[in-house]
Amino acid sequence: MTVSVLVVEDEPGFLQRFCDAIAAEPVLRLCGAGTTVVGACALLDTLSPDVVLVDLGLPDGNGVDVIRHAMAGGAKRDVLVVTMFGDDGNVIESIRAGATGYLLKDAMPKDIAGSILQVHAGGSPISPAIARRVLQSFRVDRTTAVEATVPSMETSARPSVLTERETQILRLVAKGLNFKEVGAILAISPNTVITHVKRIYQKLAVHSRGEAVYEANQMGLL
Amino acid sequence: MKPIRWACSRAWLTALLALLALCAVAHAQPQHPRQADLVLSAQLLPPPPTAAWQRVDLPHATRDVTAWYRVQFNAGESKTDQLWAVYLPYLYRGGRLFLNGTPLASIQETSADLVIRWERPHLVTIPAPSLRTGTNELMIRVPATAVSPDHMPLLQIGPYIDLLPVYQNRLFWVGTMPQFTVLSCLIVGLLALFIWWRRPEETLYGFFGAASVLWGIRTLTFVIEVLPSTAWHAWRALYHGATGGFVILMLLFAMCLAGIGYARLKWWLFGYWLLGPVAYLTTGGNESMVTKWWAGGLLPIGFAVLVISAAAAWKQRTMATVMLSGALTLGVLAGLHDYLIATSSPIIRALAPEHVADRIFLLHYAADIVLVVMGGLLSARFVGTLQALAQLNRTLELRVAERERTLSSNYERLRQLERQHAAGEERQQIMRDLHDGLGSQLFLMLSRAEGGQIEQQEMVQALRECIADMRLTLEAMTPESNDFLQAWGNFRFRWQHQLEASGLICTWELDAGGEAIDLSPHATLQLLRIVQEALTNVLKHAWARTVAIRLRMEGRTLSIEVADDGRGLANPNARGGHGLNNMRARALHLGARIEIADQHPGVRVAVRFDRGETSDRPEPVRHTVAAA
Repeated sequence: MTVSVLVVEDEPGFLQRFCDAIAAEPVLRLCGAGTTVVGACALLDTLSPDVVLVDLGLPDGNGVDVIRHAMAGGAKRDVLVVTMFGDDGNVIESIRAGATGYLLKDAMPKDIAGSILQVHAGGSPISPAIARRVLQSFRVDRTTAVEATVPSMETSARPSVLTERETQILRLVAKGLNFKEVGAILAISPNTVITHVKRIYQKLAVHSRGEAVYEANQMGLL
Repeated sequence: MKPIRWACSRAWLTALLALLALCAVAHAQPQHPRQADLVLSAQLLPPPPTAAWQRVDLPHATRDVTAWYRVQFNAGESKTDQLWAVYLPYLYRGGRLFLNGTPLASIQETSADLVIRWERPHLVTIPAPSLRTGTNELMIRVPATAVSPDHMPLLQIGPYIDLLPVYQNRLFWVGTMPQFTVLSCLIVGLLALFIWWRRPEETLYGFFGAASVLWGIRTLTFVIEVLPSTAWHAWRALYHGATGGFVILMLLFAMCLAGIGYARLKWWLFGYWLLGPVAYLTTGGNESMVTKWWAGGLLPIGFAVLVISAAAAWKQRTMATVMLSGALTLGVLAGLHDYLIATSSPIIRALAPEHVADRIFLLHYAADIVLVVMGGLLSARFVGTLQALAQLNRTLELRVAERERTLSSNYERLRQLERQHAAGEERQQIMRDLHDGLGSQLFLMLSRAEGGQIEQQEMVQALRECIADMRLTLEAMTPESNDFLQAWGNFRFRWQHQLEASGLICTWELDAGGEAIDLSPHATLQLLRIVQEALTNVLKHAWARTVAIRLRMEGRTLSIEVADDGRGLANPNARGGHGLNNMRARALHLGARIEIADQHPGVRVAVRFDRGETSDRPEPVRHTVAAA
């Protein structure tokens, strides 16, 4: 049982690097490579890969569109966004669009394969910066949605959005703790932490989809 | 106060009279004999019926000669056990009363030692046995005095119970009221003078106080009825002086209120004022001359007061001037009235003979009204001043508040400028850092790569270091807040991954409480670089199995420690000497203390940075200064 991977990257050097890393891992199977938004979307439709690696800066548009296309219709697949530093606003944008992981551009080949496998296995990497942004994102969403910034609301975040446990995890990650440490503090296994993070990503995506529908309604698009 | 008292007494009297009227049906009414028989005789006993009695109308006045008056009245059949009395509205110099030839009473007369001037009325009771049914004969001796006409009043004879309220009524007006006036004038006047003494620019208070005191002194002469004859002339001079002074001060008060200059006139008025008492004393107490001529001269002054205040009232139309001119009009009219009465002017005698007979002088009461009005005006001015003061205070407070707002907004702008300036400084620092660090390293590698002098492995390593440095710079600069712990979280996350990937067991300790640690981006970057250098050394040279990184916050001091269990500083110069020097230089530049100790095994690098006294809010300037 191999995992098929589609790589979307316009820079030949990095494309080569990612393809090599995937080819070197027997469990992974490179099923295609795209260099533009349009091309990637076409490949997604024909190949339906398990995992997609997407660089955001594409010549004909933003990679976020590719992520949206990949996740359209509730497809069962994982998207990893390729990022320079793992903390820029684009990562959050990508997560909102449906990405469940990120890959640093300068990652070592074995880290590339490892990340792909981890995401496919149901886990998601997260950096302190991303954790902070996610926390912030939910807080901002809540305050705009509820319209009242009552301080007591701060702690009792909308239970439907983030659970208490998920918030705890994000706070610990934001301090720079890794999954092992977070698990030790919360008395859960690192794997559980990883699963939690993935769920957080999915919530953010679902939440932002709902938001998008709402916004589209408001604008009269739907 | 006085009007109230008056009203009360009037109400009381009215009630009493009403009660008496009910009883009056039973007994006789008081009689008002309008004529009397007169014999000029200095005898102490009544002249015989055969003397040369002359019929005169009452009231009557004689001059310089003692007179005996005979009044006949009919007691009718009413000789019951009822008590009768003779009521004399005035008998200024005392006298003797005989009824049917027997002595009835003796009212103290002026003697060689005493000067008597009874302002009070007299009520002489008639013992029942002395009263005859039918015609009775009352003889009254009015002694001669040197100073003025000697008056025989229009008397009343009748039941005591009927005459008592009449007597009490007059006693109140001519006895109690002056006492009252003296006391209140002196107290209020002295208070006003005190205010004037403390605040000489308040001329009105001075005039009012002096006028009030003078009026009190003048009225005192009506209160003190028995005086040693040696003091008589001085006493009368004082009376005239007080009266004249009062009128003149009223003129000055009115002029002051109307805003008319009186600098020159003041002296003329002062001269005229002195003239009265001096003339009285020099003429040896010529009462009628002073009253007629000098006191008469005060009347035009009174009219001037009236005209000035009326003109001021017309022009200014303020409550104050209108009230004052009204009160003064009353005063002047009263003064005129008294003058006419005192001189027994034929005009008023023709108009109201009864009134002349009563000899009620009104100036007392009118002056009381004027003084009350003046006092009221000054009180209103005082209250107005207080209110103006309060208003002024409010205005001042508002202005101060406004100034405070301006100041604080200026301060805020200044702080903003300072912050911008500081931010600019920060940016420059970061640019210098980039230039000296990342920039020079890239240029160095470029030149070496172009010269073909660099191994691929070395190149990869160098580029990874460049990227690490860039990450560090971004981490130090990007946090939304200046919280060092945020950058530390990113740093820890990244380095933990790297250290663990190299097979090192690392422990991270954080002992900083829950609080954020405010640090400028520059200081953050420098501290992280020092730690990064230390960790790089551990990775590259230490051959260590474990590394412990501790961050602590003690008071305002941030300390970070990196300790490994490797081979130590076997040869500091050979072992990353450049790196150690770099760390020391950075610490020095930042104003932090650094300790690099060989611990056998391992090396411990400890850096301590004092955040300064006041960095509750971000103050980049402070750190910049510290770094410089």
